[in-house]
Amino acid sequence: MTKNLIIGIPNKGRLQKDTEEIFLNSGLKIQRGNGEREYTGKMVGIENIDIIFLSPKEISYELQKGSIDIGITGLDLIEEYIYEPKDCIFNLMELGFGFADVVVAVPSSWIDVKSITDLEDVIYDFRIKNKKRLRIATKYPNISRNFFEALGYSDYLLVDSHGATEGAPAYGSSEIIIDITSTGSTLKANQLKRIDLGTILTSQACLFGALNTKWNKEKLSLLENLLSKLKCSEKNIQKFKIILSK
Amino acid sequence: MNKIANKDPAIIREYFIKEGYNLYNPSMTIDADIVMNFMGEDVRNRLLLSNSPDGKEICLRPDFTLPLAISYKNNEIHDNKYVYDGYAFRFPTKNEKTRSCPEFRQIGIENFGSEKKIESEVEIISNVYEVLSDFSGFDLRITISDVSIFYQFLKNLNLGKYLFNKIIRLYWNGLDNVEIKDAIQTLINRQFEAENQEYLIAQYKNGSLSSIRFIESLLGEENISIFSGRDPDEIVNNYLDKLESNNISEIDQKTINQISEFLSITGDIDSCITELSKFEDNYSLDLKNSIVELENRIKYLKDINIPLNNIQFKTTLSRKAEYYTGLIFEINNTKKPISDPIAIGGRYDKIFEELGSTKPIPAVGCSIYVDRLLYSGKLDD
Repeated sequence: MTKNLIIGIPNKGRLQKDTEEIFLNSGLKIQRGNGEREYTGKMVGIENIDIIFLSPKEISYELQKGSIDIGITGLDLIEEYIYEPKDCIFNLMELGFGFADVVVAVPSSWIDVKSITDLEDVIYDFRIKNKKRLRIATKYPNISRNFFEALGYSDYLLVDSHGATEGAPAYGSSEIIIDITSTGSTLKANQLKRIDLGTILTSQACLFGALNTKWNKEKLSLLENLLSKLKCSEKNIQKFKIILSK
Repeated sequence: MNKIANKDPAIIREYFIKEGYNLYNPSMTIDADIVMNFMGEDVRNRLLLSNSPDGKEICLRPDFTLPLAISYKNNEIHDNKYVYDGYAFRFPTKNEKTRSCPEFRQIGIENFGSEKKIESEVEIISNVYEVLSDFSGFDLRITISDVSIFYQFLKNLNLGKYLFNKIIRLYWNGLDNVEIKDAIQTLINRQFEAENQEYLIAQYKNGSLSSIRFIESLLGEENISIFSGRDPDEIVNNYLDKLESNNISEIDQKTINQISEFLSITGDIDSCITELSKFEDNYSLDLKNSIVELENRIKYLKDINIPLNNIQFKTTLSRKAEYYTGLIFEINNTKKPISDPIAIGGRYDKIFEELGSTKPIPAVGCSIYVDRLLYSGKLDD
């Protein structure tokens, strides 16, 4: 069994830069192997830490499997891709970047829809009138389904979308969408608007700990050392240790 | 009849065949769109889905009624009474304790096309009751309800379209009377907030603003082009309706209490019928047809010696499937109750219409969940 602590770090883009910055601000310098194409790395000056660069989605899966010990990814991806996250993943700390809301967005022209309750009327009328269910384009089918299930709505259909979801109503592949937004400007540019009670999840980048991995004393003390440098709350560290000891 | 000792479920199928039902094994796979259209999006991750080479989504049958009704509608089968015995496929919900695998055996009967409404319903109930009571160690209880009584009751209240539909949906979600009362309260406390737009509204009403121009003026934007399949006139009219309903109190406390009182009616069938009649008199409602139908069903069931003590009535018994149009019933073993009923059934006259049939076709049926039956039987040992 490896004594090294394995950390999953986003492999590119904004999330990677912000992650490196937050580590650096705590005196932790991430060093990538031989340049940009290398997918492993080290923490400068600290022994026994292995860094693996992965896509944020892969980090979610690897955390679930326990093939990495801790990892940084968006809360939205954990909620979407992991079944019952509580059983396999612990949220150690919110990192204060990568903010995004997962929201329900409808055409701005729907002036009769101001909240989720109004949307339910439209979903129902749409089905009666068109003998078809209203289509919702999304990259987040699981989050969406859980949201509507809790509200007791099921008269709709989800349509898979793999990018440019905001354009779906414009080219007619769905009526409304569920997607992430931070400033809302892309929604507005596509004649879409948010509605009351339509914010499903407020997401940001978080540092997660895996519960399905083999933790030993050495790894735990490495982790504690790291977390205290990142100013993770002592309460959360203790909570994590209690869950692991069960 | 002798009590069946070995509890072989195949006996149920044979009994139904003897009673004149034709054995039919419908298609194992079914177009996923059709299923989703009936059961809604929340059933999707409980289905066993696959794709055909042309990219069409198909799934293993989640029940028997749908594929049977499709065959019947497509004129592949021509009888009226069917029995089926086989496996259907749906992942169990978290609450289902009687199975862990996605396949489950169902034996059931259907009656398509019979105009004799009450007779065909009672026949289904009594056939199922009869065969289940042959399983030793069971105390059967039939719980019945009738969707149309609730609809008839609501029509008496002269609610607006929105409230009527909302309450119907709360009912179909399987909420109890207290939950429904709370939900209505929340609904009416909510105001549809709108900016002060009297001038625009006046212009729209006198015809000098089109719907699209009205929407654009309200938003302060031009070239609004995305309506997602909705008619701009309909959007504006809904908007005005909602503003209007802020000003009139669409429903008073007395009416809410009345709905809650109606939905709390439950208990043994005789006293519920009395209670419904009293309720009708007290509030000067017209529920006559529904009550008479309920009485007729009970009379028939009594005539064929089903003890009335074993029949319960429950107004809030619903099935999360809006194609049910009248009778809904379920059968439980009260000796060793499990969370889910052993058999469920009812009338679903809308099923053929939803499948695209041009003429209405009455349909009534019942399904026995063999895993629940065996589980409940085992508990008894």
